[in-house]
Amino acid sequence: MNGRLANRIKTERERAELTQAALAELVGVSRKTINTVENGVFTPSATLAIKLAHALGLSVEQLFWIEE
Amino acid sequence: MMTAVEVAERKARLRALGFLFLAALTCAVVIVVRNNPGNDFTQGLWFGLLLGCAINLLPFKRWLRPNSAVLRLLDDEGTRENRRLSCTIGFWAAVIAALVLSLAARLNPQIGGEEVGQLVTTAGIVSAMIAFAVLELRAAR
Repeated sequence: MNGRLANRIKTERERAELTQAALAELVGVSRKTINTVENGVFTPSATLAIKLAHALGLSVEQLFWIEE
Repeated sequence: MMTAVEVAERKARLRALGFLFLAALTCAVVIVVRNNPGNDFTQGLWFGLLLGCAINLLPFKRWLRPNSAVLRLLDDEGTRENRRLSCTIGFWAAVIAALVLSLAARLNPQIGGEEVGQLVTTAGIVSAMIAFAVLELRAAR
């Protein structure tokens, strides 16, 4: 399957008035992992994707989608 | 008071800078070793450094203290991905070094097994360390 995993973490994080470090604290990863996921450098595991979606009050499909 | 995320961030940066320093030191020592063959002190120094570098590429602290929050953050899934990628880079660097040295040995039959072993392991470990440090520093930007 082709396509890149895109996300709207930065927009939603800023909407929730959270810093990268605060979101990292909520989901139990380092700030650099949040940074790389946000920038599309690192594709998160399903577990982390679900944790991020829950922390931002969204479903996984609302936070992540596949960009062709 | 600093949070676990902030402490982990600072330690991860120090670890990456430490890796760069260790990689440079190992390269310098291997040059000294090659210029002073038969010197047991420099051989031992090289071996000790390389062993230290190889152990540091493993998340051994996490294995020793699995319940530490900071150590868990220092070995989260982003770091594990960086470690996996850097070890792959180290493997290919070692393969390339071995190929280059096997070709060089055809031209210069004086190249010995000890020399090849030292250069191949150094190339592999140092490349992995540099790659890990660069990936970690880039991720933290």
